[in-house]
Amino acid sequence: MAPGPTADVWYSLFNLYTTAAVAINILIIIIFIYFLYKYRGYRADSSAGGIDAKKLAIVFVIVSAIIFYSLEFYTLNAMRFVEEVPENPDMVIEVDAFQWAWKFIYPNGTESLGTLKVPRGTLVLFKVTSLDVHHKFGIPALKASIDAVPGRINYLWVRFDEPGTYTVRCYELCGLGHANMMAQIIVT
Amino acid sequence: MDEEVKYTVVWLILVVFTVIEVQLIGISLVYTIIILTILLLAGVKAILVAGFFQHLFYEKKYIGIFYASSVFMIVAIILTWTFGR
Amino acid sequence: MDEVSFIKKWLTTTNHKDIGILYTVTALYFLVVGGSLAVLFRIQLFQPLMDFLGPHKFNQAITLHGLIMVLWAVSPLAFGLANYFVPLQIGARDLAFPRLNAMSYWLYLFSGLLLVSSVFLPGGGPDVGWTYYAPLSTSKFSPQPGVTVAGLAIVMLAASVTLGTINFIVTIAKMRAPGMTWMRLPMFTWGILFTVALMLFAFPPLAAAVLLLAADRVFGAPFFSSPYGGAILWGHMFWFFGHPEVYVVLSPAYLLMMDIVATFSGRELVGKKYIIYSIFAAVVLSFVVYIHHMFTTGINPLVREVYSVTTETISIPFGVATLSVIATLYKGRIRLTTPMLFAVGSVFLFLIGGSTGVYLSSVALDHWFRGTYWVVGHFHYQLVGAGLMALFAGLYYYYPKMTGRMYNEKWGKIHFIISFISFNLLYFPMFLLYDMPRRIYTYQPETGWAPLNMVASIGGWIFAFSFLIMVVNFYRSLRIGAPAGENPWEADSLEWTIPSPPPEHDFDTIPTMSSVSADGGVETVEHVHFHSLMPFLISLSIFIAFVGLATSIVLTFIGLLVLFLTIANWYRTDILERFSTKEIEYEAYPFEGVVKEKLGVWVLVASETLLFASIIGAYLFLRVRTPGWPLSYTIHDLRIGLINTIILLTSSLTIALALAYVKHGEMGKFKASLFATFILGGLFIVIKGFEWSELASEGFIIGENLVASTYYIATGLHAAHVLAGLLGILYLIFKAYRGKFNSQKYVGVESIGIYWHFVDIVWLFLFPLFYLI
Ligand code: HEM
Ligand SMILES: [Cu+2]
Ligand SMILES: [Cu+2]
Repeated sequence: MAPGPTADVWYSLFNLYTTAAVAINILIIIIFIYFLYKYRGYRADSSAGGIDAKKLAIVFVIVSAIIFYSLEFYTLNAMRFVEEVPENPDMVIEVDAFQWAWKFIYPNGTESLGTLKVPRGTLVLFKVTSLDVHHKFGIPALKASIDAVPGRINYLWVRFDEPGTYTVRCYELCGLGHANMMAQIIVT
Repeated sequence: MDEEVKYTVVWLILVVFTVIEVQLIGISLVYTIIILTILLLAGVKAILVAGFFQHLFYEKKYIGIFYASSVFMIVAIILTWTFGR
Repeated sequence: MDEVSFIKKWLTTTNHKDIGILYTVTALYFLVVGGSLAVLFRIQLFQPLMDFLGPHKFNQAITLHGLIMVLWAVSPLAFGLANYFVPLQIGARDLAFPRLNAMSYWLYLFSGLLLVSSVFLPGGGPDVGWTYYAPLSTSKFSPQPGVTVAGLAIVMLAASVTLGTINFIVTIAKMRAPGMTWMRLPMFTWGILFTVALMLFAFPPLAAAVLLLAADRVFGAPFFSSPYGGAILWGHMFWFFGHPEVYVVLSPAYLLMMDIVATFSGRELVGKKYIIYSIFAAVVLSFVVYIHHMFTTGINPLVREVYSVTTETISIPFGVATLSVIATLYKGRIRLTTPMLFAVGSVFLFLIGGSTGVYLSSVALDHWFRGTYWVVGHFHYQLVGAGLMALFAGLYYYYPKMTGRMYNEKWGKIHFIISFISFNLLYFPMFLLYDMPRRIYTYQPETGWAPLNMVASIGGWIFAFSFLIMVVNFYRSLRIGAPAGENPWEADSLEWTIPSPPPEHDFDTIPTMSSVSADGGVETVEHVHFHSLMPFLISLSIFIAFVGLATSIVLTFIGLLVLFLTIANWYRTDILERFSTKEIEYEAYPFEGVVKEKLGVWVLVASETLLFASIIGAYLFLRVRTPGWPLSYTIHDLRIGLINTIILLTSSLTIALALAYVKHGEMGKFKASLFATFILGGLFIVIKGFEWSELASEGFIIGENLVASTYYIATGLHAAHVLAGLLGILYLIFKAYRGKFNSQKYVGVESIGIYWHFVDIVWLFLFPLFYLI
């Protein structure tokens, strides 16, 4: 059971890309190795080979364009889904990143350093900003993440469908404490 | 000499355009229009200098293309930077 | 040869083969430096909670590793081969401007030394990541001078690169042997041409970004510390350079790999024409994909969608090129020698790196991947796997040509097997670590990342060690290798038609081509290689001056003094035309009749255009975002601006006339016009200085606010260009008085004129942008 919709979307897109990548690469690599093996020291006609390069190029461009743009189609769909800022979130949390910790501000104004408590199933909207340098707010389990940039507010929505303790980490080098810039989200 | 005349005429146009640019400041018109006109005038002046003084109009075509490619980069830079909010 | 003349030879040489060797050896040296840093930080990451480097040293290690590998090691290694082989491949006896080439090398060497020496400054070297993200890299968060000094090293390298770019473009455009048409050029030369084209447009924005950062750090000019988008501005400026730069590293290697595959398949490359078109498309596209490094910054979704599509698109031409390589194997006569093994190995790794790049081009997937080890895995497969491995292939391939001896084939193959396996041990686990943040110096045991990191570290150490196999092999083979002969690989291109190692003058007669291989030769004027210590001295003095900035200002003065004297000496020798050579041009389409110097200036102008465009772009970026920016005409005295504009326009007129007069042989008027130009340019500077001091006395100083900072940076950079132009005009005046110009001989006037008009054009835009609107 996936911990939330953002992770669902991300993993299904990831699996799609992986299927395509593995299938195509295996095909190419098999041909590649076969040629290397078959024509080792081969002594037939060395100039011709009888390949129509133009045709090959055109076919390849068309095929790969179809593949890439269909992948892109799913990407844009997923992007709109995760980037759409919900109109009525259950809870709006302000996140202030600073060297080297996370501060959460609840809707009622209470501040909490390094831990956030949310009930399971709530639609949370994070308003993420930074008080000093560039950071990146990321929740690995949910595959949800957005930059914390000084002077601007970025939005990120998540829903925790499973109770538990989730780690938040910083994913943009922000100085000496970058490695330990973590927080916890406790879902009850 | 032909060039003397030609260059002087180009120079006169350049000076006149510059004066127009300065005069445009402070007249009562929508400010965007003023800005666009001024930048347009600057662009025309640049083309005149490049074309006549730098001889771009009389150079090999590919030098022009080469130069134009850097203009393409400028457009890419300025558009994405200014609007990539 | 005794010791003194040996040292003297290497310090003063301008021969492209010597410079090529210098580049190669220096690049390998920096490869070792960067690699050792990696060995160290892989120890730190070997286990959770290791206590080996600690955060400060770790951050310095990864920053220097990144900067060195991307800018000072892999790409210069390719340029070592390029210096050596591009002239040979096109049938020329040297590059277009040999002394500038030496200058590129020495600037490169000293910029690298400057970078490395920044570590010994108080507070250590740069520790902000090779991407130098602001505002972390501003003085508020990283006050140590090492960050500034490393920035200066980057600017110095950018200067080296710009000179190299001009040199290679002019060389390839103008110095091809008779019959060496564009389509007959070997792929490696094409790769270098694409690379220098990328560099030409990518490095000026980098230089601009670093200059702005330096102003921010030194004068407190709040460019990147601005709360209104300073951080984002750095992203734009850096990645506009950063994306093309990764292709700069890849292209020469990737196209060299194609030559090698063709040679060892015993046939021509399939669809060479289409490969060239494809790579050309990729080069153009590479300037409109860079936002994929900023997908998670939250900027305008439309911009990100467009750039996501362009990024997916750029994979297509690479696919075409890779497919052609595989098709070349079909019914070939394949010989799996060491170079061939490395070449096909690099294709494998390129496939994996490219596929993982496609994941990253997806905005939705990159939301997560950005900042994780997936990205690290991706780009190392590209830069090290596809890039460096192909350059290793190149080193093995060309070793016999450069030394005249064969390397040991068995050890070559062992090197390939060990490095290929350990490479994958090192980098493949990084894809599986897609939850682990990049650039963390430690991690907790409960993350479960330990086993994969252990594998990676072990792979890394083996990979680093395997490099030594090559070094030892090459070193020993210098003495005991079997003689190679002219063409050990039965390859086609011109470098294989001359002895190994090639004689000092390369070709006895200039080869002529009626197909891809040479079939004759033409006699030509004798070619002389000059020696000059000036490139070395100039670079050394800049190095000393920069070191002085961070340590003791006395050093800076000494550096500037030596610099001044050397340039004066350069002037003298040039005015006396000690170095003038006579080259005949053969295949020069599409630039027939355009003299080398003039083409060079055009190339320079194109790159300078980008420099100013970046500064203006940064200005507009900040201006549209910062609230309450006053209209320019309310701050500045319009009359002064107007007068200065007219002065500069008039100076353009006079230098245009000067050219017309010299062409008509009217020497009196010619000299008068030069003089007038010089006076007008000088007047412009004087008025500018007066204006600045007025403004400063009103409290309008550079660190005051963004309005002042952008104004001073833009007009200051422009004034520096006017000064450079004045130096040029002065040179013309000297030469004119020595009677070195006549109605047949006026390239200098034409070239410096083009530069002067360019400086004028820049002002035509600065004036409205900074004085009027
Ligand atoms: C097949 C085409 C390629 C695609 C679609 C692609 C895509 C991407 C994307 C989207 C990123 C940004 C990832 C992020 O930071 O979140 C990236 C990063 C990177 N790519 Fe590629 N890439 C491709 C080929 C290459 C090549 C050929 C090279 C170099 C030889 C390269 C070197 C890099 C580097 C160095 C970075 C990371 C820079 C950094 O953040 O430090 N890529 N790539
Ligand atoms: Cu961080
Ligand atoms: Cu990129």
